[in-house]
Amino acid sequence: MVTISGKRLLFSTEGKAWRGKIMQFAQSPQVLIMGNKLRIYFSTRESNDEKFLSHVAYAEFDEKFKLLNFTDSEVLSLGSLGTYDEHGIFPLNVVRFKERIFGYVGGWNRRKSVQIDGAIGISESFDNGKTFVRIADGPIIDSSLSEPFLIGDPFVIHVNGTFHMWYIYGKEWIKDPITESFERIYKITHAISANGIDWTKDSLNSQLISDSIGPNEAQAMPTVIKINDAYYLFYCFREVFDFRENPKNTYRIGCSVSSDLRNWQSEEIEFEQQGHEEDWDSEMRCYPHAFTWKGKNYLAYNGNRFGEEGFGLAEILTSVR
Amino acid sequence: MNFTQAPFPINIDGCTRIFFSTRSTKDKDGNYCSYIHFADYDIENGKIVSFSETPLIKSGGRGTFDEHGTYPFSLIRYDNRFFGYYGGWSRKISVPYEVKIGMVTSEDGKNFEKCGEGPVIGASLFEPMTISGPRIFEFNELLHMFYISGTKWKLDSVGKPESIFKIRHATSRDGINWIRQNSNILDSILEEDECQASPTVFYAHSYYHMLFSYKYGSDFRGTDRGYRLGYAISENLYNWRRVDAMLTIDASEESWDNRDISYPSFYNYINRNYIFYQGNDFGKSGFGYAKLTFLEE
Repeated sequence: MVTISGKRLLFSTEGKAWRGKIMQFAQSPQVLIMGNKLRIYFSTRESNDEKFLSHVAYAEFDEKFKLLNFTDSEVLSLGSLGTYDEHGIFPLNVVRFKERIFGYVGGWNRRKSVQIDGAIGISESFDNGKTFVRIADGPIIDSSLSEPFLIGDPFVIHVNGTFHMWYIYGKEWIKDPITESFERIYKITHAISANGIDWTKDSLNSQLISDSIGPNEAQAMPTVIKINDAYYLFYCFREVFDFRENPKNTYRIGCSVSSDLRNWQSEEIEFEQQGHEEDWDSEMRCYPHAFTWKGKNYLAYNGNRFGEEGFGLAEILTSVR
Repeated sequence: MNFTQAPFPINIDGCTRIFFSTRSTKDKDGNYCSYIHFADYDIENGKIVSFSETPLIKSGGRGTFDEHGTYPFSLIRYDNRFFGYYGGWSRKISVPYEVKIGMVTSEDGKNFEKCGEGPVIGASLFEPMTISGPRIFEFNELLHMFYISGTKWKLDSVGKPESIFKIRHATSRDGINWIRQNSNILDSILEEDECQASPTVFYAHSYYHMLFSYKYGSDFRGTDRGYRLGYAISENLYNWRRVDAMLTIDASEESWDNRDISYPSFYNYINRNYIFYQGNDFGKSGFGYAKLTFLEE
């Protein structure tokens, strides 16, 4: 059993501006620890005609989680014409490796017959994480024979000399019989790498985490943390249709546990209620990111309306296994 | 039949089977889809024996890489089976399309089965955009694929995005996992944004020879900036030297190929060497072939 304790809205978009406009959304929090400061990257939206573009910014917090500052410019520019990440970056998963800082890019591009496609790229920072540049313009993980589209949501850790990545791949675009729009089903999978750049996909079991609400379940944003001797994988999942407005069908956060990073067992998860002021995640919880800081384990995540109000933070408590 | 593009001949048990692509009629948005067919050809008597009835590879499902067409195609017999590779097309918003390479297998060279819903070769770190035009060969017990890789989208004189692409090379032992050479293997001679396509490679007289098409990067339709034939040689399949001046084409007086010769494909049939190609206007009128001879022969 995992208990998510002391949850609160950590970063609110209310009253904030970004690049001269009202800040819309602060989604998919991703942490980089800077000594006594906590830096959290997030994606914010900028309207472009009727569509929007997601850009990466960050906010910094002190040891008591007081907001110190946030950036007013993008950390990594969008990709050039025709590339995998020209219409949005969501998330930017930031990983320290020795003296280097890599940024794994969840890149999105718009298509004609369906809304979007995605692939995963890599960038690197040479100014201590303030800005990132692409190692090259193409993706490091693209669609493949058994993962036909919608590659995204990278999360990378380095364990005993091997890089591990959890990410999502699209399985099917299916038509909502009521709205007649095409909606996507995606699942979580895993790849490994020796250098963080060249990856080998798992070929044995493509779908890593079993469905808990049925085959049409969409699973997203895997994040892995080691607590004591076990690995915990948090992710969000939802129904394929009517998930934007209907709280019954929308994202909630799930958890699986593993001792070997290969075999995952579903683990019960409970969010401790904080009282009436905690309305920010009353209907939806999505895009989790787990990290350890100063001896405690935390989960950052988004609440209602996919993080329009900002992102929250809570402590992860595990019972002795 | 609208267009017969990208002829690819292969000798299957003595029969010359020519794979090619045709276009559907345009839809309400002015878009069309390409499909792969074949014709069985009696090269001794110069007669087409039969045509395939239906497209060999179905378009993919919603959101897949080959949802909007399959073009072009090449095939090889390997490990007692046939491996086929094709460009799968899907439409985008900011640029007209994206292409990735799909794979099919066949027991008989007639009926094909997709190896997966997704591509066998997609974009990669150093090949960021369109990956298309696969040509498959076997040399020294290794599969070699020559293909084209989009390097950028360039806006032409009326602001329309045109893909700039160069010939690339990858190798594989199983046909599924490919090691890319990750560099442009030919110099560009027209301009930096020269586009190169349809490499066909064969071994003769101690060298590997490549014929290919090349053109200017933009404003090439109906102008003298369109496709022409190029020629390069190599000792090892990795390092190539352009020797375009060593290629001589006897001029044609015929109306279907008097302006353009593109999409060359080498074909050997009982000690005779041929080049199949498509003619004027990107193959609108059809394809044909010519005899290939080496001057020192």
